Amino acid sequence: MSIWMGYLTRSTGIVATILVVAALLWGFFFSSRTTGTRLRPAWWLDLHNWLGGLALIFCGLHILAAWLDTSSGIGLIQILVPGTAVQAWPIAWGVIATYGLVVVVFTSWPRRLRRRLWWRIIHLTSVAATAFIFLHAYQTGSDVGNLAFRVGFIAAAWLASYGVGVRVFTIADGRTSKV
Amino acid sequence: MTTQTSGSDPLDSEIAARLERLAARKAAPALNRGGGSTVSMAYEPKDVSASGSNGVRNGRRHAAKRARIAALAASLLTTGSLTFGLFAADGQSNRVLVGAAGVVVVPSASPPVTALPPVSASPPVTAAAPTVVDGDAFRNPYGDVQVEATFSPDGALLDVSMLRFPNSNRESVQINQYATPRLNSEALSAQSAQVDTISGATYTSNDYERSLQSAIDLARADGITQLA
Repeated sequence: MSIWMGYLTRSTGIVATILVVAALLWGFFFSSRTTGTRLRPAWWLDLHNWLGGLALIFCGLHILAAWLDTSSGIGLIQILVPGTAVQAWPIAWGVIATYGLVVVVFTSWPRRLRRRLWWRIIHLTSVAATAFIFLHAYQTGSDVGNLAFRVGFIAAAWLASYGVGVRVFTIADGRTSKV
Repeated sequence: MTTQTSGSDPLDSEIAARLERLAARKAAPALNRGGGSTVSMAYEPKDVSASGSNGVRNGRRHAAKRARIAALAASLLTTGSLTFGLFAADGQSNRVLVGAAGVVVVPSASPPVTALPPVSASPPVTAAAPTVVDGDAFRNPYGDVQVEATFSPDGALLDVSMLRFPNSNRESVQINQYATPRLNSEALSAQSAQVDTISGATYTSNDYERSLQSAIDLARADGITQLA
């Protein structure tokens, strides 16, 4: 059982990372108005919200599986308090990223924060959370030695950077979003 | 009155036309797909409930319902595939490792811990010098664990060292750097293989205990020690 929890921890972690990157991309494409006209903005926003929520759900599954894996040494304290695990920093990145994701999701759902400026600042912490997730995956990951994981890791990091770049350049162009 | 009406006629007609267009748009939101960027980008949440694109009927809450289901299905499928794929890949690598050594071939669906013969045979026993005995190697999902125990001529446990330990990734190396000295210290102070499990290194701790116990058993069988 514990062995399967170990594998489930790894797989849910990978899927959660993919979902976070996808949510980030969808959000930046949407807010920078680079979504084209084929699909309505409502579609992009709806999927962005869903991907963000799904990422948080898989993040929760990742934590649950790590907790149930008796060989991981992850307990409630290690889940809640950064720096208390045997591998202090690698796990701490994950804990901090999870807090970031929780704040980002629950300031948008079920109701968005009233003050747009605050909401926007909080929402942008998802970029930092994504960076922490990458650090967590690289430093803790049991699959870092795997070539497929490395290629996927680099591709995901590139995609996330591309999304951020698209948004930054549209701001520089003066095309701001109302959302 | 007539003058006022005739003076504001063009403006009124323009406003009336715009109101008509707005009313038409409100009445048939399905027609408003991929429209002007200004209108469509100025998205308000209430529009979602009335959206009608991509096969979504009016009154539905989620504009990307199909994509949502696809994303959920893809996520679950990927998780399942990765879980079994990683398990199979680990089993495959273990099989290659042991098969290459020509000792025993472990099937991929085998239980996680498998006893392996010692890497090297025990040296000849001499009464005057310390004796080194290798324990059995044990396999777990992160790698193999095998210890080497040194016994004094009077049979006391002098030293324990790891011959094999999981070191396939950074995580395992870090854990073992932390766990191995503690396990060695515990074993020496207890003069026994009964060591406490180190948090975060459960597999290594358990396999360490089993490997050391096998070394003690071997030494006792050869009359080197009386430790249990």
